Amino acid sequence: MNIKIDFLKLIQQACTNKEIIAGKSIYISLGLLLIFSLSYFFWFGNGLFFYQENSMLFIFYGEYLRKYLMSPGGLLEYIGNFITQGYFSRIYGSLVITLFLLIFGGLFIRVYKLLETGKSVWLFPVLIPSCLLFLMQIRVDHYIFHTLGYILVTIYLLISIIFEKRRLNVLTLVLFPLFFYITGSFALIFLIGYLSYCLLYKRGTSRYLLPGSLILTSFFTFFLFEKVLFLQPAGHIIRYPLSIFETARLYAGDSILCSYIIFFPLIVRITGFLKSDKRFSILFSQISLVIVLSFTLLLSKNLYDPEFADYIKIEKLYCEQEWDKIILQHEQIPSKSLTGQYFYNLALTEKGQLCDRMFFGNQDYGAKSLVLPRESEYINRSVYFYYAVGFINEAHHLAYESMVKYGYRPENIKMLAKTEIINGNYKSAERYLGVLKKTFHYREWADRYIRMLYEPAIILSDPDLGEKIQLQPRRDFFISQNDAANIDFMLLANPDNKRAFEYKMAWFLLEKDYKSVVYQVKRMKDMNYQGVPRHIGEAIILFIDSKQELPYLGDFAIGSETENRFIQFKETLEMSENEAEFKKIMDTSLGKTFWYYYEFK
Amino acid sequence: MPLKVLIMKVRGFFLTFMIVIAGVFIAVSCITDTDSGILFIPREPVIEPDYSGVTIPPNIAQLNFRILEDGVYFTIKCFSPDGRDLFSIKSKNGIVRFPSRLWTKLLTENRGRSVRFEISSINNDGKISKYIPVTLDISNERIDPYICYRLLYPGYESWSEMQIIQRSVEDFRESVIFDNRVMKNNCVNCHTFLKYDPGKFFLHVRGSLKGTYFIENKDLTRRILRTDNMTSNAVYPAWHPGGRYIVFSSNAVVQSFNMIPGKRIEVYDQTSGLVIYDSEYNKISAIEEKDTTEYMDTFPCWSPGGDYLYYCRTNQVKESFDFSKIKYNLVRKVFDQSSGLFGETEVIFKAEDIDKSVTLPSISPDGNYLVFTLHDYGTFSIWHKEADLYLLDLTNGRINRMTLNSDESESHHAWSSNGKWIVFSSKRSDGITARPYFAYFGSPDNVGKPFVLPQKDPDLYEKLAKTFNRPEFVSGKVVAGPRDFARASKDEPAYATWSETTR
Repeated sequence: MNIKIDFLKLIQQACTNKEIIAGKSIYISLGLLLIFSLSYFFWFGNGLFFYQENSMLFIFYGEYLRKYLMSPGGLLEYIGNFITQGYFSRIYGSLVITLFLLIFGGLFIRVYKLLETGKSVWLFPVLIPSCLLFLMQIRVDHYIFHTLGYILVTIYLLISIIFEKRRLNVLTLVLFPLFFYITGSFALIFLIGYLSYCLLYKRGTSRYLLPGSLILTSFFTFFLFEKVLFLQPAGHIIRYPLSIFETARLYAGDSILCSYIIFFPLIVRITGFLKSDKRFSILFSQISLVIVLSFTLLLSKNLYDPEFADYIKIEKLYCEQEWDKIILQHEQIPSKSLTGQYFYNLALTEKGQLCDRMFFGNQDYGAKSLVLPRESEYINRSVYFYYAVGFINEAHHLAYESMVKYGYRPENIKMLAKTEIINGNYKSAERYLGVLKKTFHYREWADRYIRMLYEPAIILSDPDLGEKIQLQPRRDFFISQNDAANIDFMLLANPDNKRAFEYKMAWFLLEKDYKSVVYQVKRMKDMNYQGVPRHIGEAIILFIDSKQELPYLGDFAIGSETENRFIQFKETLEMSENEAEFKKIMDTSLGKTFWYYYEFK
Repeated sequence: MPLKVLIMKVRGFFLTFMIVIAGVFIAVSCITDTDSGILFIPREPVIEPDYSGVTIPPNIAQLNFRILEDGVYFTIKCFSPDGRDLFSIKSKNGIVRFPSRLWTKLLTENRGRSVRFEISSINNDGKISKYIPVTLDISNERIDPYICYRLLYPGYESWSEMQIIQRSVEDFRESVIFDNRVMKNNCVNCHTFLKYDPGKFFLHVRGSLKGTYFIENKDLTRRILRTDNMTSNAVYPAWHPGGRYIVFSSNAVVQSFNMIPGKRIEVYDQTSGLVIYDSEYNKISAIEEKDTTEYMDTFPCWSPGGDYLYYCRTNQVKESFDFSKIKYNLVRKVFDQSSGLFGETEVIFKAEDIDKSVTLPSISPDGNYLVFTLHDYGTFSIWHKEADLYLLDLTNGRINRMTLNSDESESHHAWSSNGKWIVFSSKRSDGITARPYFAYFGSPDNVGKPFVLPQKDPDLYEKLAKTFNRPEFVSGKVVAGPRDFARASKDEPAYATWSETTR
């Protein structure tokens, strides 16, 4: 009898130990996820904070809220935007994302415990959703409202199971329209997930009655929303903010996570069967932890896009007007992207060094990196060229198009405010500044410009705005699709626009048209050039070398320093046995010349 | 001393004396009344929107406004012409919202009279400032109870939200007639009512659900008013008062963007001609074939009796034309309603002679007056800062610049059904966004100071970046709504056919 009792105690103790180990494993795994997520988003993936914070503008204004209240799911995006507005701080961003990942994980543990009658939690199924969400979060177009949507679905699933266990099913049905309104299409994930739960875990009439009632409720809600309450097309109500029924529109991560939530009751049921063999339970739990986390680590490495991170970093610096840092960044760690090189050229323009320094950094796209197309993905960035060169109306036009197409964003509203101030439309500028004044992060920026309104002298003395006023055309012309022609029009309308002139020269240089560069040199005297910019000088030397004639340069002359460098360049070129060897040598200062670009790009 | 010099000296002395007296008067009037502690300020308070001195209809919604004067507390007292204290309102933030009941009573009891509002403010130190009262003239002439307008961003090429709104001018209720969110984000334009009838109108939809949607109460039909004989879509309409015919201009429109500060967009036609649509038989005919090659005709407008078609005409532009030299004249043709035939073109106002361009003619319901927009060149007055409204007296041919204009663009305009009110788009508030302004029209010499469509929130125009386009008076509530358009868009459109004659 005693032996029997001891044996039972031994089994009980063993079971308790397993629970302790399993519990510890959960904390360890969540702790690891916390460290990993914080580190990743703080040091590597922080580009998404700038990207997302710049793709919306949260305004503390009733009308802004009203816009979101007009659509089911809008409130979710509104809350998401409220959270996202703090993304200008990467500490805040990393903490928010990590916190939500842990909450998501914690919710799955709770659901698991409710579904599985045994007390221990198997790590494998509850860790996957958080890891999946982490991987999805790496993608820049996965916003915090998406994460919130998944969290709310899990919360509602959890609450519904609790209601069901307490025989309060009617509350699930009653609250569903509200849930649909708040979460929009995310409610449909819950709907299917709850159906799968009922079919697997319910017996008797409630197995079909409950799902049937919920389906009816959801249909009723949908028709109420579509036909009576909201002026939104049916497709929008089903798809917004996540189109779960169109797999073509869904990213793989969303498809997997949606399916995972829907089939979670089934997954728990299956793991329940496997777990019944307690001999391997702990071992399997530990192994699964290692596998899931390693896999997450591996995938996160693959999903990380260094090129994107690079140009987002440069764009951020551009928005902060950190010209020197952009120049340094590109010259030390050359950006391979078109946008990165575009911003490098713009930063040089802002510093007045375009034709002095443009070949110090990589120029892999020819003249394309001077002006981005005024369409689709580039529309929000192409505006900067027009602003920098004095096409203020076009900068305003593009910023306005961006506002109409993509809604209020910090950069388009800032650009609209600045261009209106430059053009003297203070009343209109006031409206845009009023918008920024009602934001958390941009109110100080707005204050600075509000103080300038109706004060032309102060505006003129502002280094940025004052300069742009001087660069504006003095005669009218229509902007064309051809930007090389636009630069010519600008130079006709304002012959003193030095930036337009340098862009014209840079265009020729990048097109390797050194003859055209030489023909333009005589214009430089009227533009108060004190000397020939470095790369223009290099183009002149190349002209002299190839044509064996001295061009007319007006009052300008090429210094002996440039000539000596060219001699050195040619000697190095002749002495090098092969192209590879030459390129290696050219990593030195001789590589930062128009000659090198001309020969090898 | 010669007499002339003496007179001059006396005059000089008199002027100096008057200036000194005026200065003393102003100084005294600004000095605090030590007995009451009230500072009298010899000017009207600045209020936004500016409703001071305007003539308003007796059925207009409350003219809520914001007081733009320093103060932490404001009192607004309303007095009848005989000095009776009608009511008073208090405001802590300067925003004045009139209670509906008091406002209605005020307008009803004071029709045809002037009322004045005495505004005083209290600043942080408890000092009271009083201003010269603001007056409102309440007319006896009622205004049509609704206006319809298109609400959109005053943008360049792209659009997102676009709505046709009907707004009660008697209160602040508004409802949406058309919303492009349920129309696959298509563009909508040129809403046109048949003689102010809310049950009979049409509008154009451009995009995947394209067509001209004709609305008869809740019945909607979708028609395509373009045939192979037309080079462009049917654009600017004029509905014949008989209801059967509609004249459209068919315009090939081009848009370009100015680069000089002060100008933004130039919209102009490369070709345009008039066509007449017979809504009974769903057929289109050219009005005059040679017009389409020699001239560009646009902005048709019927006389109230339907006997004349007024429109704007310029010579057909050639290749590489100078857009700033396009000047439209105002012309008209006689129309025989029984035969459906037009007469010869007659020039009414040759604007090119004064180096200007005429657009958007509209005629008063009594047929006596024609209002048009005059600007430097081209056809798209809304983007012309210098565009102003002019009045042509059709009884004597006299033309006058209207007193309701501002330094910014005044463009689209419409007459109320009783001919006593004009609604027009004006960009006077910021130069960018058009707002609907109303002005009383008693006679060419008696035009009231215009006032903007009142809003419940007087700050709305300050905040709203959207523009109110093409305001039109309507005599009642439109019953068709966005879902009706969405339903009609699913029907196969009825294609109009081309006919050589209107008969």
